[in-house]
Amino acid sequence: MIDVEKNSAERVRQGDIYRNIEYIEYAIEEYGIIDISKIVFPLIVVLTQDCDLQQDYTFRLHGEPKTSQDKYLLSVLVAPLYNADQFYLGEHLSELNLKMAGFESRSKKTANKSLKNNEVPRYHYLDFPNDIPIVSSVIDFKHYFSVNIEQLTAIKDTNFVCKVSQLYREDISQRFASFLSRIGLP
Amino acid sequence: MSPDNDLFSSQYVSDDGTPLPSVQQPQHPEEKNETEASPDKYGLAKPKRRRIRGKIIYD
Repeated sequence: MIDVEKNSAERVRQGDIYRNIEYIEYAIEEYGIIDISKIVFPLIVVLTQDCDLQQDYTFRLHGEPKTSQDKYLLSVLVAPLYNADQFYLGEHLSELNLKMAGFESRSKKTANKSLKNNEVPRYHYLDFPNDIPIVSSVIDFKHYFSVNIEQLTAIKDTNFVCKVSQLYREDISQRFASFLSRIGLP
Repeated sequence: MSPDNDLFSSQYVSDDGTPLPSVQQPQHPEEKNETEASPDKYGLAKPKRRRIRGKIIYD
């Protein structure tokens, strides 16, 4: 079980969990018609390095006026949290008409233990404390996406759920970086 | 409020592509996108796709 912090901060932080975050699949403008498709993810976790978020915040909003926008971020890297029970069934993206592989749900089975011990490189299992209203969840590191930082900041206060504490967020970050930088062998 | 009856649903066309009469108005963050409105637990809902089509009003 992970530790979390319940209090929001003045800025977006690595490890923050937000609800109802939109991923824009496309926005096409043609013949005076705008056509937008987006996916609304019930929960996401912020993966961007906290020092980058801190510098963006400092340069953008606080302190003496800066002579450049050198530390501005364009976007924040995030990854969705999927309901573990739906994940086991491979049904967590069914409303997007996607069937996923599914996973062993029986807790005594080795595969399930490996998932919960975070030994499967692609996934990160999160079990929240009882006072945090989030079901057991799985991050799929293949499904990372970015959110405009100004937009995320604008909805931060209304959509914040909690923050993964520093030790556990570093675990997520390290495992994500390792997965992303893996060498694909034939 | 059920996830399928949120504030947004009535403002979107279905995937059959029926256009709306005008471009969507910006929405206030508090009104936005409640796929989960005050649930007992977050994370029960699944990701959903939303589609918006509308005429563009150029400045």
